[in-house]
Amino acid sequence: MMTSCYKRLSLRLSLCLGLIALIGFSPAVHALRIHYSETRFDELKACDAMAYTGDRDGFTQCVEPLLDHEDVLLRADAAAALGDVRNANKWYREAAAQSEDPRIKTHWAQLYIDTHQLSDAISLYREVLLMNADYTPALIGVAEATMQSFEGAAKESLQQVVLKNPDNVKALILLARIEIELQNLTRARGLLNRAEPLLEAQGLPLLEVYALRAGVQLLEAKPIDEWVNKALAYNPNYGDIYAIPAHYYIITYRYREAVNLYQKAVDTDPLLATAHRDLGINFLRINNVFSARYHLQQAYELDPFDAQTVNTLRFLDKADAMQISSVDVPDPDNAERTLGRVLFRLDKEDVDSLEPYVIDLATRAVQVFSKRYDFTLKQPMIVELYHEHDDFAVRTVSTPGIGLLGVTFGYLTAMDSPKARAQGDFHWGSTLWHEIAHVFTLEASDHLLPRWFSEGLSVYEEWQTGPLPNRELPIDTLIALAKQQFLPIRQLDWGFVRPSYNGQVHVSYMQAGLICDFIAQEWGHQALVSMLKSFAKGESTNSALLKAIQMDGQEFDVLFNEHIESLYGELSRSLDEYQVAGKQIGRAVNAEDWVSVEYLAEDFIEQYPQRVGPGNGYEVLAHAQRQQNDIEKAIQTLLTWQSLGGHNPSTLQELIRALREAGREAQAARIMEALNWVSPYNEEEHQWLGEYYLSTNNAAKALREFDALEGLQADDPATALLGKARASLLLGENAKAKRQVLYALENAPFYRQAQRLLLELNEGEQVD
Amino acid sequence: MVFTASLETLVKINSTIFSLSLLSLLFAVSEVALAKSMGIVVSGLGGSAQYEEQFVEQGQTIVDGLRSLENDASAFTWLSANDATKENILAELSKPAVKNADVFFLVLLGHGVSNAEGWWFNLSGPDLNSNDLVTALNQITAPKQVVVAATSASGALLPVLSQPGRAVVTATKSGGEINAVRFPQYVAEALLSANADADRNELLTLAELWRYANSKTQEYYKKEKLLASEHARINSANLESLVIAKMGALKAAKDNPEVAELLDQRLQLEAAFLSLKAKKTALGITRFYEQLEPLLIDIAVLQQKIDAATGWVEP
Repeated sequence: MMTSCYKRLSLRLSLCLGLIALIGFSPAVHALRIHYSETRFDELKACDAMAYTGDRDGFTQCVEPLLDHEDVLLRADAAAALGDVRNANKWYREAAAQSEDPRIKTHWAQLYIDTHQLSDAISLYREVLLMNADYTPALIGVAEATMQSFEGAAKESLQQVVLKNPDNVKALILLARIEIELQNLTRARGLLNRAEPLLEAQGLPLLEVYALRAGVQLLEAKPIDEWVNKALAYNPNYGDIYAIPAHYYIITYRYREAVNLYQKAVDTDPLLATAHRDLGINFLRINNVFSARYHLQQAYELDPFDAQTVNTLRFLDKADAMQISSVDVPDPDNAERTLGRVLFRLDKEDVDSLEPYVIDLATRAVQVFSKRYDFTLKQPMIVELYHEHDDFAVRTVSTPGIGLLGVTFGYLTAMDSPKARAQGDFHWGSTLWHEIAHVFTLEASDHLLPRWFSEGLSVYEEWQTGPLPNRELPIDTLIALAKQQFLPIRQLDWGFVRPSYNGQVHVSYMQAGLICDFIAQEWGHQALVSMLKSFAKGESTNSALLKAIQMDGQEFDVLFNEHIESLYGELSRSLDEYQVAGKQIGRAVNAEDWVSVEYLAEDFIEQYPQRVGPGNGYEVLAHAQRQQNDIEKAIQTLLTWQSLGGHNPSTLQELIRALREAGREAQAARIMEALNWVSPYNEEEHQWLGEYYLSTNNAAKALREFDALEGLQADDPATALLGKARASLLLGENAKAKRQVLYALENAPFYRQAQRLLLELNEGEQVD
Repeated sequence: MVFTASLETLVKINSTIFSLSLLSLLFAVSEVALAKSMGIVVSGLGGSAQYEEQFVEQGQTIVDGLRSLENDASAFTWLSANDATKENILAELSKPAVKNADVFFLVLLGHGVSNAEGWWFNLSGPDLNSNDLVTALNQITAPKQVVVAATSASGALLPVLSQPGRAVVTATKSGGEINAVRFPQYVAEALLSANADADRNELLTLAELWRYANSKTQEYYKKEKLLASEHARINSANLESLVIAKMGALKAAKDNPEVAELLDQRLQLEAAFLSLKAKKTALGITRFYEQLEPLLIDIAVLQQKIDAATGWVEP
């Protein structure tokens, strides 16, 4: 039975330290830990052997007497082995106060890892390393803790350990895990081959090796039965034989398959908290909310320290209050056919202002991608937008504080709503477009496409078909290009999975997008579709390239690099001068020397015309032109900027004002539409746009705008309600119009325009 | 079927249901018509050209709004720039006409600071402090008083100035919120926006002004994803009867007797409307809207008469 205790827990992992003090004891039954450590007490090793074969009762009976042992460290280890976190913590502290034996803090740190407090574990390991920089268990411990948060440094440090200690099985196994994640399967096999005889010689079980070998098999699309049978023959309750390989399904986006494996894991070991947790989280990713909640509750009962479990359960409580709607997407070529259903889950406070736009864009995306990828949705697609960034983060990775904007798990896509970030912080329309492209490419390939291709296609679709025609390469990508940090196509996944320098993930997104764009440009969009189909058959990047464009990765890299050199080579080499030019403009602006600003900004733009984001030349040029009273030129500059993808909301608003003042209402309306894809919460714009569409007899769009306005003006809905009444009237829906005008007047009984419409409706007169 | 009801019938129908809301409304409007309102608006020291400009602009808008309550513009004094001194403020507050007004307004715009000893308002020359204000305001005998301290750290004034009959609005919740505030910008905006006058009766009450400015301020911080450094506060519950400004046709009509008579009629209809609205749940949706429609039509017809009398033209 689930208690409501998790509701009291903080979302923040760091507060778990306090939990130890508060809760103290937990009957947590974690995954079976195989103790490779050479510093494990012999007394405990004798008991471990029982646990390894699945004899839990025997293990407990063997360990319990050790709780009274005179050696306080052994007592602490025994308590930790039994899940008595409070006593283990107390005795470790006691031991640490009495002695500087490095074993104490490394064992203590292990307790922190087991209770998911990685930063505290790392602190303890670092304290040990301060005393002895070469203490191997602490070096391995730091690597183990950091690799859980996907830090690329773990690999390098484990390699160093293995170099000095070639027979250290723990280091070999952790390194094998990393190599499997990087899909360096041959290297991983080699490491496991080295570990196996060492384990046998030490009398340690091969269970984890079997599970990792099963993971390798999965990534090679081969059966895992051989390793499962071996493991279960040794320990019939070893649930990790399914749960460990399931992780490799997750990192290759195969959530449905992962769910099946996690289900087997909990069937094999119903006390395996991590498997219940991951099963719950992945049920959520495939939108099976009820099963998700059930398994997360199971996980919580077994291990209340796991922040991922707690966070996700708390999220589920909030998610219940979200509003759900749906739309059947019509086939634009055949009105009688639908291309699939899309479900929308939005926070209530976002619904009115955002939903009309989300539906509009999702409908268009489904129509475009169904055709471009020759794929029809086989089940409803779910689109979720969260107005709290941490809710989105927990929903996707069970931990707050991630830097992502959107995530797609097959048919389910979740992202930040524009309210989750500062106004204009991101172009939410492009993000949604990017994520829906993932839905199609993931499902069309049965989730078998490599990460680089998945992200590359989404970036390419943002550029080619998305709502924002922005093709700007950020400066960090140009710097990476200048430093020759672009990866060969066959290794591009590494840039996403185990980045080796700051910002590499972002650079990899851009490189992947440029690759897809280049392939489409040289060999046509169909070449990309052909590659997608090859990946769906489980083929490699090389093989997919050979089929689609008749060249392998190496040959492609040569051509691609030439292409990039022709586009960005000169610019990337002259970035220093380019940035100096930017500073020169800044100085001229400070001196209010608008003639010089104009000249310098024009030159700046010429060097990199695609740059429309922060630091671009267009906005400053328009400002200089306005300062010289050349309003028309300023308008033209900003129109060019916007047509290239410029979307700074305040500048768009400025452009709208200028266009309205110049009487160019149609253009103003077009820019306002563009503004809504980046900043949809502007009351004035929605109202003006609604009025504009009424004046141009576009009742449907007018209704959309007044719906949005109503959502934004909860305290004063009269204006929006009147707008809706007028739009209904335009559609010939007089009864609806009267109802809406009555609602408007109910809120504002002296609202003249609404009064006039009511009188006209009652007299049956035509409304102007 | 069109439902209409004459004003007479309606008044009869609703005569039994006139409630406290009608009485308070009658009070509010008669107060607008007859009560003598006076007040002072002060734009304090900006410290920089940007703030200086803002405080002057906001002061101008607010004093214009308040002046709509009276035919005599001199009923409201605006002190800004070098005139905004402690000496001048205290001199204005001690004028007999101000002290004996029916409704008294004081609006402070600018930078404030506070510490354990009190609150200070930045002015040219010596600053005005909370003790000065308490002493000066205690001399004012107006039965209704409104003090809007739209400055940083103004929350410190809330417990000091609060009195029965005196509505106090502060831009911050305490003296600890020391950053420059956005609240006054939205107070000024409310006086220019038809949206702030939520019921569109062209009488902007303190309640409407507060709701508008407070929600816009909060919205700003939410929109910009900034930690809100100001939380406006108000101490009085009886805000609906405090009219801050006349707007639109009413502002233009001033003391036209024909308009005044029509306004009295409108007042009765407004009371009937409020009474009906209060019974919405009891009546059920269908009956409520059946009764609402003819009443709203009467209000609309009367509004046309008022507009004809005032010569009001939609801007």
